Amino acid sequence: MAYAEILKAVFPFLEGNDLASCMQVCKLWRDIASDDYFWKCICTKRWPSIGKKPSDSSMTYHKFFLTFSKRHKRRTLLPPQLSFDDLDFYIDIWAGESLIFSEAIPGPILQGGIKIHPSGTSDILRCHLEGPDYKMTVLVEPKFTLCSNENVSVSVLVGRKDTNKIACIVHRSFFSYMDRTAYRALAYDYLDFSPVHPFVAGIRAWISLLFLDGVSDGVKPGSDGLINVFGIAMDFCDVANSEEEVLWLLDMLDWK
Amino acid sequence: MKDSFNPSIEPPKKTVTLVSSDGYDFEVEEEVALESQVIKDGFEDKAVDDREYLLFNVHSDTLELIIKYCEKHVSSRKSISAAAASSSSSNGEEALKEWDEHFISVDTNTLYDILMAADYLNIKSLLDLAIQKVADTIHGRSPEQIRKKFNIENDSIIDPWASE
Repeated sequence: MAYAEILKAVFPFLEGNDLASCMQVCKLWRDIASDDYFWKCICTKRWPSIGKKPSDSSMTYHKFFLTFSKRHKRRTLLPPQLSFDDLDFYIDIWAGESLIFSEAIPGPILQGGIKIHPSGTSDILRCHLEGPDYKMTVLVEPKFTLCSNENVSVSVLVGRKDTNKIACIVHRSFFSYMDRTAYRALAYDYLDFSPVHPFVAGIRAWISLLFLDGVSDGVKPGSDGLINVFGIAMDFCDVANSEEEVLWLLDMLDWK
Repeated sequence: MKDSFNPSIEPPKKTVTLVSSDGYDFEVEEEVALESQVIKDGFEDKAVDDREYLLFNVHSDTLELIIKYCEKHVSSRKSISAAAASSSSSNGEEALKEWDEHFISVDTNTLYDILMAADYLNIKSLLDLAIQKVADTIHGRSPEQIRKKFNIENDSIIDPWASE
């Protein structure tokens, strides 16, 4: 039995991933492993009915295996057509019925995020903000104070300059989740997508109010129920975890 | 030591002499030698005093292992069928599998030698065992690890599959 014969005897016992590795070992191994017979064995083991498909010279079982054996989790996105320079975000926040924050924030500001955390930012929050998950943040000037038992709500619209259209990110959602230990209050809403994306649903926009630790302004959180808000964060952590992904997602909104 | 591999047992059993490529004689029982299909074919036609086989392709180190394997399988088969005849429960098959597993756990060079010898002598069960072992050795390894394991030089200048 020659060396090549051994390989021919061994390869039918391999799984697809192993045979794929063998193709990269050296020329001889690759020549032998590229025999589509081995790949047919592997494919018909994994998808028995595919053997019933009439053979088609344009498709090799090797290629078939490489294409369908893996779920392609990470696809490379093309550059988004939208850019933060084209966007303006309109954010309004109410405590009860009184408006406490109302700003039109240019896209590049949210994109740039909070560069210097104000003194009094807790380590927990600092860690979260500097974490790897993609988020857009902006400082609130001047800071505002909330009572922890108030019903605080938020609305976010986004405008794009290239088509001069507006889309809704958050209708009017309440900060129903107030986490004093994480120094954040969270609100979310489901995104409305353009009718050209009919099957996309269940993707949320998350808005966070960022709290100071309190001591810097002489107000201890919890002592009188007052909370100092120094910033706002927005993310789409359900699906979009990079700037490109966020821009692609925003581009899919129902622009009007 | 190799010359007296199997000290003669009385009453004298029928034996066969196997001669390794490096000139050592191994005297083994007939039924052990008959595990090899190559020896079995045409065995009856040979004169009793001419039962000596020159195995040009098998080194004594390997031949010793091959004989060990065949002896084990002959004796296991006997005890398994004996257990079956007396309908007493036996885990002989399991035990033999375990023994095989242990037997074939050798370094790559030895595995290669066993494989070549099993092919040359046509010992199907041993050949299957060795081939499966090679497959198991490849399983889950990266191309680089496979190269290292089998001592192969990477002669592909460009690697068109690297991005797969």
